Formats: sequence, C-alpha cells, structure tokens
Amino acid sequence: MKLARLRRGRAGARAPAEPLITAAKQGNRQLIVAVDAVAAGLGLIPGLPLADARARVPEVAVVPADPVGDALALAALAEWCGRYTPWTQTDGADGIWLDITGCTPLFASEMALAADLLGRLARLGIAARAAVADTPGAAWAVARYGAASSPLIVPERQARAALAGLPVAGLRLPLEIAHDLGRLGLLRIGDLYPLARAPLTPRFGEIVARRLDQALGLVGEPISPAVAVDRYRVDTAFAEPIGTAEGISGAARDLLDRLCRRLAAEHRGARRIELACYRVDARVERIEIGTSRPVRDPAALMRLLAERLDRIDPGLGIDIVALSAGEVEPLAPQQMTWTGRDLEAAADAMADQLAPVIDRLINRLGAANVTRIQPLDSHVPERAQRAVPAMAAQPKGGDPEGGWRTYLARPVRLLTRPDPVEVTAPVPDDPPVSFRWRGTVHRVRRAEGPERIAPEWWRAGTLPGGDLPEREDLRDYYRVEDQDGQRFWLYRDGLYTAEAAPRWFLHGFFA
Amino acid sequence: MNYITDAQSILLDLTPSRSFPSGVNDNQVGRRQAGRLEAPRREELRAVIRAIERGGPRGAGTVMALGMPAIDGVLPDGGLARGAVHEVLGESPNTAAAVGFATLLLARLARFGPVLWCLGTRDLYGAGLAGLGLPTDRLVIVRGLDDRQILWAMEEGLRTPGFAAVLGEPRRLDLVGSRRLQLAAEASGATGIVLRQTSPNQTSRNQASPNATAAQHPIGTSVALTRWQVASLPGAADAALGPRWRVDLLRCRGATASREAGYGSWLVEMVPAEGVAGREEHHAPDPIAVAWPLADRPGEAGQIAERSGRSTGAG
Repeated sequence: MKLARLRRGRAGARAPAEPLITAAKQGNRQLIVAVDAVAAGLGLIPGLPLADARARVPEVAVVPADPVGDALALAALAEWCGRYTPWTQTDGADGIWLDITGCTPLFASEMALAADLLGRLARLGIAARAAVADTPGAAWAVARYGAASSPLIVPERQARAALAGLPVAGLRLPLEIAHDLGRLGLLRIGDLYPLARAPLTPRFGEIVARRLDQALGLVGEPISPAVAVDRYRVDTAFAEPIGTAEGISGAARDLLDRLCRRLAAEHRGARRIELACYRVDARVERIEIGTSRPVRDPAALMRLLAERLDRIDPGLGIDIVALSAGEVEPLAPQQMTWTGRDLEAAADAMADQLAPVIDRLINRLGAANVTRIQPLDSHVPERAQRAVPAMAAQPKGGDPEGGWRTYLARPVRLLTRPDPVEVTAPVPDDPPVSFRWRGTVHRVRRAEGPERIAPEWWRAGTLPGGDLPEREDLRDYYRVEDQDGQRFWLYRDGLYTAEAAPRWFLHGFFA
Repeated sequence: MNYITDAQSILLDLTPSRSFPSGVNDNQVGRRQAGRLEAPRREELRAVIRAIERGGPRGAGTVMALGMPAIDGVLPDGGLARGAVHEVLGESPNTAAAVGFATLLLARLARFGPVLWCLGTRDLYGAGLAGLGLPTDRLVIVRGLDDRQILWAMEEGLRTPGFAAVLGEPRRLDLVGSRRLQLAAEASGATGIVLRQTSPNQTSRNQASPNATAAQHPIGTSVALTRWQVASLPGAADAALGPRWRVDLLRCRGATASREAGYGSWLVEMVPAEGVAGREEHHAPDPIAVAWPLADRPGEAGQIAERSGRSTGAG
C-alpha cells in the first residue's frame, strides 16, 4: 500500500485548485520533496529545484518539509491501521504494510477491506493508494506503479501477470540499479522473467533476483509487526463513534468481562492490560495498567482502568476499543484456604487482600512511591534500611522486630540529607551545649553519647546520591534533649584537627 | 498472625438466646426484666446506642484499648473507636513526639492487619518505629507529592478493604476532606489517624491548656472522633533519654466527661519491659507505654512530670 502525498493533510485545508508542494534544502539548493495532485498535474515532480518550480508555476504554495513530523504521523497512522490487523509496519517515508492474512473474513472481501481503509483515509484528507497481493513485493509494486484506479486487488497466484507490465523500479530497487537496468532495455518487470539469474547477479548484485523472487512469492519475506501481537486481545467496534466517558468505560467493562472469561477458562491471570481506543481521525489512544500479581477479576481491573480513563482524549470519536492482556501468568482457580494456622497461607492471604488496594496506589502514584522498609545489615544509619516494592516477598521468620536493631536507640525520622547545624561545644569530645537549627537556638539539657560510627572501609569516598559530604568520615553521634524536651540526633563529622573544626549535622528526631 | 481477635473488642451480638435461658419467650422476658437489665447487657445496649449515634455500620462499636489504663478509662468503651478517624497534633517543625504517639496507636492497630502510612517525605526510620513496637513488615509507606495525593491515598487505603489502619500526614485538611475520610473509615471499619502540625505560635509549648485549646483551637474543624495534642517533655536529669510526652485529649466525641472540665492530660513515656538487659539483641525489649495523669493547670504540669518521671515502676 502506498500513502502518497500524506503531507497534504497536515498542511491544512486549502482551495483544491491551488498546487501545494513541500520543499527542503539540500546542499545549497531548495528541492521539492513532495507534491500534491494539482501540482503533479502541472508537471511539478519531487527533486525539481524550487526555483524552477516557482518559475513554471508562480502560484504554487510551498511548505517547508518536516521529515520528522512526517515519520511520526506515518507511525501513528500505522498504529491506527491496527484496527484492520495487528501486523502493521511503516515502509520507507510514505508507505504502510498491512498483513491482512486471515483478517479478510471480518470484512466482506479484500476489496471491501481496502475500500473501507481508503474511504476512511480520504475523509481525513489523506490521498492514498492501496493494493492487495499475495506477496508484499507485488503489493508494493502494484500500489505504486499500477493502474490509476485504486484499490487494486491482485488475485491469488496472478502476481506474475500483474507485475509484467510494471516498471522495474516497482521491485524496490535502488534508483541507480533501476536506471542501469533501463539502459540495458530492461524497462518492465516482465522483461526480467526470461533472463537467467546467474548473469544478473554479478552485474547488479543479488538484490534484483531476490526482489523479483520475493515479489513473485518464490522466496518468503516476513513483515515484522510494529508492536508485539498480544494473544489475549478482545475488541469491539461501534457503528457510531463514541466520545463520552460513560461510553468508553462501558466498552471497557464489557471487554474486561470477555477477557476475564477467557482468562478464567485457561486458568490464567493478567499482569498488564492495555486499552487501545482507535479514533476516527486516525489516532490511537492507549492506557495501560499493571498489577502486582495475576488478576482476572473484572471489577478489580475495572477499578484500576477507571483511574486512567480520563486520560483518553476521544477527539472526534472512537469507533474501535480493543483490550489486550500483555503479560499473562498462570493463575490457579480460586480456592479457599482453611488452615488458618499456616503462617505462609496467612501471609499469602494478607498479600491477596492487599493486592487490589496496592495496585490502585501504584497505578496512581508510581511503584517507587509505594514501598515497605526493610532492615539492612549496616551500622551506618542511612544504610541500615532500604525501601522495597510494597508487594515484595517478606523475609520469613517470626522475628517481631523484623530484624531491626532496636536495642540501639534510633530516631523515628531520619533526614535523608543531614542538616548542618551550628554548635557550641566547648570541649572537643563532649556533646554540644547548644546548637542552632533553622534559626532557633536549642540549649542542650541532657545528652547521651558519643556513639562512634566508622565509615565502611569498602565504600571509600562514594555515597549513594552524593548528598552527604563527599569524604566519608568518622561520625560521633549524640542523642541530645533540649530545654523543651525535644530530642535530636546530632553528629560530628570527623575529629577535631589542628586546621579546622569539624562540622556538625542534625540527622534525626527521636520521639 | 491473628488479625481478627482482640480481647478488647466488643462483640455486638444481640441474639436474645445468648443472654437468656432458651425456651423463654422473648416478649415475656422483655416485660419481666425491662427494669433491671444485667450489667453486661446494659453495656452492650449502650454500645449499640453509641454505634447508632456515630452512624458507623461495621467498625463502629469496636474499640482498641491503648494499653494505658489511665487513658483508656476516659475514652468511651475503654479504647479508641475503630472505623473512625482520629487526629494527632504535633508542633512544627519537630513533630517527632506526635509521630511517636501516633506510632504507638498504629502499632496497636497493626495487630488487626497491615497498616498504611501516607506522607510527603522519605524520612521514616524503621529502626525507630520498630523500637516503638510497630511491626514494619505490616507497614506499607506511600509517598505523595502533595496533599491531594496524600489524602487520596488515605481515602483509598481506608475505603478499600485490606488495611486495618491508615495514618496520613497532610499539611492541610478541611472539613470536607475530613468528612470523606470519616465516611471511608466507617464504610470499611478501618481506622484513620491524621497526623497534623500546628505552628509554634498557635499553641505555646507545654502550656496547652485543654480548656483554651479545645474551645478555640486554630487547627480548624474536622469530624475526627478524638483529637490529641502531643508535645515533648524533658526527662529527669538522671533518667535515660527516651520518649516522654505530654498528651492532651482536646476532643473526644461520646466521652462521659464534660468538655469544660477537659478530657484529660497525661504524661506518657516508654518503659522497657522487665528483664531487658539480659536479652539477646534479636529479642529487643517490647517497650510498654505508661500514662500518668497530669494536672490541668499549666504551671503544675512540669513539676508533676518531673516527679512521676523519678518514681519508676508505678504504672
């Protein structure tokens, strides 16, 4: 299939009689990149210098070429073509492959499918040509060099005849090779049929023979899909495009019911679900949800989806809604556990109970913001705990303190970045008698310490995040209580030396 | 791993055959004993009436004792009502005392199931929380970027079954937000704790007279069942540094004491359990919170705190 003059649609509506071209600078010349039908009728062709074009057709409208925008638009269009088949791929700068093998029964015929596609594109102002053939190569040639009428259907096993009259450039050959073939009088694809392959290859490379064989279906040519195809996919189409939030959520609910019935029949659950809405203006809106464990409960999944439905912009309307399960894992049929004393079963039950609410929290706030804390075996305070995903497996064991070294007096809040404080500490190794934190002077009434924490020698100098002082030094921690009874955790970074007094930091707050 | 049973919870069972011998017609019994109901039965009915007054269908009527008899005695039904929202106020910038008291409440609530803590920072420190008795393997922490996310997470945690309690630290909470949290808690039976900051000029430290603050508290209105204010107290010179707070109960819906008299002020501190010194490091002491009643007059509070701090062992 060839999408020609796609750019016209982006340039906006214009009077149909006005020729439109896009131009880009190549070297020090402006060359025409693309032309619309009117301009082509006036003899303007891509590659012509812009100055020549202006001389020939003074009224021509020129738009700067935007190859990146074109590529993005083409990719979006290819994605939208997923409404016909999941196997779509962009081809070059202006084509899209659709592998419609097996998709035809959904439409009356191949012709009906292609006509539907062209009709939708035409309504969007995209001039396109489509061809259906046995092989990608034949479809490519016919779409670009075939008869003027479109869509063109090459019946089964008739590619040879259909291609015979087309120029050799239809074999997707580099321009210079097609040119060389033409100089030998090999202008049509049919001219190549009687030739022996052996002499062709040393002269033109193996590409001529390969492209010819691919076009005729003598060798296979797989098309790789733009997106992986999900096995678990359900969709629904609407005669009238929908645009309301209720309509979309209703469609999503129906699809979830269907998908979950299928998952239940196969004893599976989904970990990732994607809802794709195909808009009438050739765009696809997608939202995705993830769950921490396999789920096939439509209500639970709907709660997660509902959280994001407002991100779907229906535009002018949505005519197909598709739901696919990306990650699917085995999920045994639900069974009630009756052994309440079994610790693991109880832990599992707790995790099962928590999974829906945690999924909701994660889908809204991000997995990094929904965590548990676990102790780590380090005596450096900021490394003695780590955040783990909320649904991470819990360490086994009946330790009520969960492995924390609670025999050490530790604060309830530990600043991620210790706050520098000004202290008055008369004797070098004694706790401070007062310190200033955030503009307030706290007189130290009582103090305990020091608790000396040496740097871990195997982490010389580097700290995660780089927030702390670069040089990791010995720290002397003091627990101090001020005149009001507030309790702080202060530390002195390093020892007193002759050159400079060590700095003090506030690291945490005791309850 | 027993999440359901709690010795302090009151079972709402109004089946007549439970209280009366079988075979007796209920109506007869009702006529005959209308005047003198047995004491437990009377208590049950009171609980029902209170539950109706509170409007909570499921969690209402069950309470969680704080394990501090001095405080539990003041609270209706002898504990903190579950399926409701409670407020704990701390004074900025250092709310560690309020965090500590809220952690105590959360630690007791964690016996019923996992708990959620919603806040805007990443500075919760597990070792300190575990030291106050909070089982961190039952704790899920949610970090929200702003109040909207924090309150959303709180409501979600309260409304969706799964968490036994949800603690949140929003910077602001208006009446509508508080009402939403309360409804979510009532619907699921989960308990909500809102930890909030007051700025230092709103209340002066250690002089929070319940009479004044309860009447004209600047924190704003809310539908919370109870409101606690927690401030650090200095310890005795010879005692070890440890949690030591002045806890004022500023509001308590359904309490028998009149509001004018003040619901109560206590000195709360953590006392290590017996035989701590000899235990191995993995079996850290179960800290026990004890509460001492404080006089209402502000000037006296410090002295009493000083005195009771020295007399260890009583409780």
